Amino acid sequence: MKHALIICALLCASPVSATCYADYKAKQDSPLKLDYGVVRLSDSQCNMSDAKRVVDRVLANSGWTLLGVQSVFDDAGLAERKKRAGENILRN
Amino acid sequence: MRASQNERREPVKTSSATDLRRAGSRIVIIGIAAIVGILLATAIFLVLTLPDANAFNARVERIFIENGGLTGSDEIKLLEILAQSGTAFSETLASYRIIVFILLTFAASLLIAALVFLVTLLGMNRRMGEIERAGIQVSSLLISREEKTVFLNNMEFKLTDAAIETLSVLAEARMDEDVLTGAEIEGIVSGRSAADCDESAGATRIKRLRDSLGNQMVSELLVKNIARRGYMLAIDKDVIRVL
Repeated sequence: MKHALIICALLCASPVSATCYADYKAKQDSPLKLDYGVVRLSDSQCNMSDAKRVVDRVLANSGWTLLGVQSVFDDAGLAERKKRAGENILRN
Repeated sequence: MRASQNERREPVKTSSATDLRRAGSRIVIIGIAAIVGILLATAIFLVLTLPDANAFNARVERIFIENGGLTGSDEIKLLEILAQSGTAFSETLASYRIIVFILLTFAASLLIAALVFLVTLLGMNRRMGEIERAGIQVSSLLISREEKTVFLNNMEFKLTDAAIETLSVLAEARMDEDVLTGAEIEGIVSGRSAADCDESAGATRIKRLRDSLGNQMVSELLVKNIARRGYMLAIDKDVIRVL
């Protein structure tokens, strides 16, 4: 029981340590390609303006142009978005 | 005499013909400029109004951004296909544009050709007028008995008494649409009955008239001999005037 509590504390703690995500929309030109994805952020970057900067950098590396960051959310939000947009939306 | 002065105003028409040619070349320049202008305006209008491929892509992009829900991979695929079909359509439009350009060029060249032909026709008409005036075609015959002068297309010829008499007789006969034999001519000129006159005497008068008019070819064409009937002036009777 005690062990179980410790394990739970370890496992259940990780979501609480609030992994932060941002979802974005991006495009590639000629031919036009569209993309929706989620990028994992560190805790300090968990706001819209920082998220935008991070996402921009991540996308620039792979040759995409950022159209806009939709929102910033946590694990629960990620699960919900995966349900709608598919499993492999996480880009990093 | 006044009539003769009126007739001699004819050369004024020559300068107006030059004006016509000048006006003609001006019309050509204005016409070609107008045609090229219309073509250019249409071309610019076409270029500005027909949408390009990016217009479709931009529209699809905006739909994608503005609708937060469009995140599923299927939906994104659908949007991409939409953009591609838009691009394909705009390629079709580009080929239409080329066809329209070709047709416009054809139309313009046809218009220019028509204009040039029109002006050429005007020039030809003018030249025909000149040829008629200066050449064998007699557009006016004015006989002045007092001065013993005949004006042929406003060219002045001095004639002898006998020749002017013969010409007057022929002119009067022409106005009555008569053909005179040599004997009749001799009869009228000398005042005797035609039956008493010799055919060869009339023929001599005709020959002298032709000789005094000088240019054999012109006078040969002017004073025509109709076989077995006699002589007549080979000109329109409306152009004859006797003073």
